[in-house]
Amino acid sequence: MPPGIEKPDVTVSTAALDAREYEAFQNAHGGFVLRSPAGLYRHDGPDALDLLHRITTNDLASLTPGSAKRTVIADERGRVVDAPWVVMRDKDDLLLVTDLQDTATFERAILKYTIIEDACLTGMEGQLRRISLIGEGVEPVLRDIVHGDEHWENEIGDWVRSGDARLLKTSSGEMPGWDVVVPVSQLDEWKEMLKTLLPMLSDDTFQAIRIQHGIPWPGYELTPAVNPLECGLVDLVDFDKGCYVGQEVIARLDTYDKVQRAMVKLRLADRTTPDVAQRIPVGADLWDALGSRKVGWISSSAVIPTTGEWVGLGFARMAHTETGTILTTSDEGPGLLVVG
Amino acid sequence: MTMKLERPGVPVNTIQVTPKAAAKALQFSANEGRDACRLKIAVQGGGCSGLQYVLELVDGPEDSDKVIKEHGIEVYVPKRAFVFLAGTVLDYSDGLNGRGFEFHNPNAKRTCGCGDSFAV
Repeated sequence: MPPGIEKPDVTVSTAALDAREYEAFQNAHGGFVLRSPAGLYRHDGPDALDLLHRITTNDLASLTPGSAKRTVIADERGRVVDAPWVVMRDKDDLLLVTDLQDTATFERAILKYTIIEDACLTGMEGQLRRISLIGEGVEPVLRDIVHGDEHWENEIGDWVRSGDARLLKTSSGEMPGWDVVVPVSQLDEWKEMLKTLLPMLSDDTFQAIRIQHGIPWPGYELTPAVNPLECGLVDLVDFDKGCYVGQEVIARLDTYDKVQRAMVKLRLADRTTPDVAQRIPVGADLWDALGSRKVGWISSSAVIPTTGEWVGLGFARMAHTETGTILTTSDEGPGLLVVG
Repeated sequence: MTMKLERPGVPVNTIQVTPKAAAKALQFSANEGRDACRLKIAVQGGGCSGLQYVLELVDGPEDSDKVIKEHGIEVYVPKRAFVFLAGTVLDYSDGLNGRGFEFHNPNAKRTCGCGDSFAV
């Protein structure tokens, strides 16, 4: 791990994963998880949007009521602090959605730049809850629930109304994701309804799925050890918007093509000899195939309960990110294969 | 022998405006048809280094503003911004390569390339 970055615990322990739950997810091509009450914030006031536009990487000034964008909060060195969603519910009324477990860090990242601005950040754990849905099978389920809402465009950032709840499309591609934000009073109702349509997943299974599909996560991949260009968030950087916190560094990295490393998906190189000692150790350094040069680190790992296969995510120097590259771990662990 | 460059001491409980900066502020104020130059100096979040300066011609101070009178202008500094600005000298740099209004802020530990943003 880079110096100064706290080593995370193993992301998902082997014992915690339920094979039946994972199998149900595979059969339904999707599932849902009830998220922690933290992570939803109201950010309101006449300066709220302008402040976030000034301190984060994406062009938020173009948001209109009923739309959402994801953005990166970077530090002065251009390193990632968090990548929250910013939803404009109404003029001067934003909802911020973060996956960062360390909510104090998230709050501090905004409040430290709130000087003369008329903007107020309020935790919404008493009013709202979040349900995350993941998988290809999720969209038809949500379409049925929404009953063909005319605003459904199926694009990332969609903020779709369904009664008192709101649906936020958070990702697409091989593993589409949605967040459903519901009033606390309606959480049980939504949970029971979704349970009839999709399997409910534990946090650990949800984490294993996102690791398997290469989705970076705050606190693991999205940390001050990397900049947005290294962890796959380049689409959240608007290179024409002007200054924001960390902009000079990020622009220089892009202009001079100085991005040093990239996120990689990892598997065990030798998958023919099941061995409990063969694992992908989170926090371990990654070395080249000969073990002669340190080239990165492992940020997340999990074992897929249905196959026993370890999957991991990490960061490696650019020369070692090609699919098929063999890497090793510093503690004489197993060889690892870069798979994308 | 060690050479030491020193700026003239600026009391840390105020902000100073140089005669050149005051004259320029008066000129901008007159161009806007104002009868007096009332300049708000503040700090807001943003810019490459996290904090950026705000200069604005206003009609008068707000309740919590610190009021400074110097070289024929009135300067208003919001109390929440003053902690970042105490001891600052506001100057003006003109000419082809001039940068306009310049802040010499002793609290700034880092400044971005354009000089509009700083970190403490």
